[in-house]
Amino acid sequence: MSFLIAQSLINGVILGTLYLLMAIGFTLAFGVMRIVNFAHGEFYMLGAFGALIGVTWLGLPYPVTLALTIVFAILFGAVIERLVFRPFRNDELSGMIASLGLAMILQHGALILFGPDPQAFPAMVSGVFKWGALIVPKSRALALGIGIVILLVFYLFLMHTRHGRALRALVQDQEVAAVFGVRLEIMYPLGLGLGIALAAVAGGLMAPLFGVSPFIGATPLLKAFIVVILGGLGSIPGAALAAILLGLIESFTSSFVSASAADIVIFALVIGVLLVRPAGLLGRAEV
Amino acid sequence: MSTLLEIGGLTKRFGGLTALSDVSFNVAEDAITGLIGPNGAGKTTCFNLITGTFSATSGTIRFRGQDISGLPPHRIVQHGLARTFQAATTFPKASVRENILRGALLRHPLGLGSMLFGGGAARRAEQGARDTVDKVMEALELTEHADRAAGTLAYGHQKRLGVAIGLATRPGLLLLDEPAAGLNPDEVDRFGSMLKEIREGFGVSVLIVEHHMRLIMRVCDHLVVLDHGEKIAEGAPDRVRDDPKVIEAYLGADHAK
Amino acid sequence: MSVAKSYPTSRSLPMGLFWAAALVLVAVIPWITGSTFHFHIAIMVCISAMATGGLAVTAWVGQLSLAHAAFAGLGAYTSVLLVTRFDLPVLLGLPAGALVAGAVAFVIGAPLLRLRGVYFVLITFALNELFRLIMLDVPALSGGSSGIAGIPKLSIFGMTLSSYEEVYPFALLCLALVMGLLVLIRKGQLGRRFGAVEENLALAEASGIPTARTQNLAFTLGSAIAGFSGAFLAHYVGFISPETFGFQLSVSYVIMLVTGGRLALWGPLVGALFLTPLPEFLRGAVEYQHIIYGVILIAVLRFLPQGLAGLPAQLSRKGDRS
Repeated sequence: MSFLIAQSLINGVILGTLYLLMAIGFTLAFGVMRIVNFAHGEFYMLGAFGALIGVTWLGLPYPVTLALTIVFAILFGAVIERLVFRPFRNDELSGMIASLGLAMILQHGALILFGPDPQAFPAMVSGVFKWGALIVPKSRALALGIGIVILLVFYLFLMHTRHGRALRALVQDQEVAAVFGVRLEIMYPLGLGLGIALAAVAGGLMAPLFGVSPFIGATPLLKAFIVVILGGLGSIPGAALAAILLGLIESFTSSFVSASAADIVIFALVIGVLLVRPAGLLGRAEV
Repeated sequence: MSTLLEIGGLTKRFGGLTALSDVSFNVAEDAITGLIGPNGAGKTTCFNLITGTFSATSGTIRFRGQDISGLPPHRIVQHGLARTFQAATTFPKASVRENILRGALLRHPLGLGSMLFGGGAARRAEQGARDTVDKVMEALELTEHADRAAGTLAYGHQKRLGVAIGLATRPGLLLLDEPAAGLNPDEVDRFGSMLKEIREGFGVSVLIVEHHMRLIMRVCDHLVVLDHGEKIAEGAPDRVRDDPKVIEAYLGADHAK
Repeated sequence: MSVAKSYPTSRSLPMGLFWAAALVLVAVIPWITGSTFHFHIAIMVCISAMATGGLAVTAWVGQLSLAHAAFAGLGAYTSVLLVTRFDLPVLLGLPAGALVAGAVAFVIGAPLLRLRGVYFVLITFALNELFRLIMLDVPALSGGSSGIAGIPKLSIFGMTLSSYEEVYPFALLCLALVMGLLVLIRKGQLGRRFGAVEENLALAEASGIPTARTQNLAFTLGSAIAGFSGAFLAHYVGFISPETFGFQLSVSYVIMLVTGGRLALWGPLVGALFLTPLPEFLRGAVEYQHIIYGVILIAVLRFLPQGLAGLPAQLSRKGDRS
């Protein structure tokens, strides 16, 4: 029993890290630009394809591929901001509807380019780590390790660089940030680009574990939604707490109860939180 | 003059912060009463409690002898307390006439059937409401703009339209939240005159929250002064103006800036 | 004279006649071509227009629901279960579906509608997922992931509508009833209330309009219409599963509504009429269908904020200015 608990704990943390990568990008885009991005999952999918292309077609080393994925995702995000979202800056609802359209374009674009069939991703590492009865495949440990490194780098960027501080100021208060000279025409594309890059790199990290297809974006998007609603739209600490919590809940309930029961409980929880505390578990109460 | 609105021991706490503490005052029938005080004195909180936007932590609000505390805003309007908003607040896409009509229809309620299928009751209601609308437009000098979309009006006209919508609900007491904010000196003077005419023409009492001291001194019969969430003075404008506590509150606030 | 002047719908009478004639012309196309396929497309237009019309009613009080497919599903399952298990005539199953969907919307609407803007969209999104998951979890009722097949066809007073040609007039009649309800809502005093709530909720409340009750009424009516359309769809297609009424269907209703015009009376009809047959015009490029939907959606949001139904007004206003 205690072995099962420990195993669930480790799996939960791995899931939580993936959810956190997804959710932080999503919540950053909302915090900075007030956009609820229904296309966020498609960037996860594109990131996975990007990694596949890098590793199998171009023969690049995996770390280089991931780095390139991040760079291209930031640039792509900036372009998307300019083409799709900029006209809806002061209109949350229209921006959100536009993202529904963007999601359709990206998903079906990938379908045309790559076909509907799932594609295998070559294993980056093989074998398992064993501690007594505990088993962690090395491939999972690798994804977890790189994921944590990326999250740490992103955290340092937010806390200790000029642009990071400007982004946080925007999340706090748009008007005040503008008064203090935060340049929106740079920060909006940067915020969306970084958010998308986190989703894309999550896709690249998970591709060796779960495979690649045009339809893999839906589940991570759903998880990002859940995390962000539980943590509070636009709140990064809230997302961190909720992501780990969600990973653990899922891992434990699927070990001890059933996966479908877990899903229903989680969605009921999401609706409950939205009704009682729309600003999320840690969010500031909005009037 | 009889009492229209009685505020008794009104208190509002947000978390640990006390925004309003044990405030009591009365608003007399047919009077224009001013609620003043420096920034953060609790005027807006008081206003929002009376109009039902927030509910009070404790205390009572009685209108014409009836307890109205805790009612939702639309029920409070039905009792005869109409409010305006600080910013210019209109139905931007609708015409000026339609804006005012939406307020006026309050006094001509209809069942769901009449609302959907029209018929005699709906026609009579609309005709009755339109008479009110014409009168209100006249009083607030909006008749020439009747068919323009509210969102296209100048700021001053939009603010006046806000008052018109409130007035169209035929209130016993009209609550105005900083009606002079954003107006130029000429517009403020004209608004002051209009306010006095409205009181005569519509038999309505007024409670006004305002920073603009010249307007307050000109139109108000009675003043209530708040500072740091407490009532510090009350009385006729001349007496309140010379009250040392009031002077200190305002000067102190100025120095703090 | 139209009562609700807040929306850009007022047109002169000759223009109204012109559009009515155009509509009739479009409606008779299947009879002219005699093509079974065209009948099918026309019936699908009717069903989509009904569902989107329901979504519009909720949009008219300023709320966008992403749970619309779930309410369609609720209506579909209600009707199918009543008809297959209790031998209720299909003609009664359709209104029963509407009734149950409306009743559920009424009960959950009060707490739900306290959320506004994107928060309402998010909670309805979660609700649609919850509906799908719960239905998948009760296969005894829903048929689980394999769904329910062989659903009884539409029938009127014991007469089964077995061919497309027979279904189409009934679909037109149902659509006319739904559009009639929409017209009553918009042209009467209720439309004035809806407009007030949509344009400025706080001011509407301060003008004595019970905004919470008004929004709940709109949500209830709109969801009931969704239930009706869902029941119609189920009996027409003959197969439903929880996946039929997933997120994608909700999104496609939103796309039709926004493309037609979120606040326009005829928006739902125009949106369904324009987008449902679109794949047929693409023929060789069917795989591009969804990409084109996406592009249309973004372009309409950007350049035609009042949708296609607002296009004539937008053009004439431009004409006036030049």
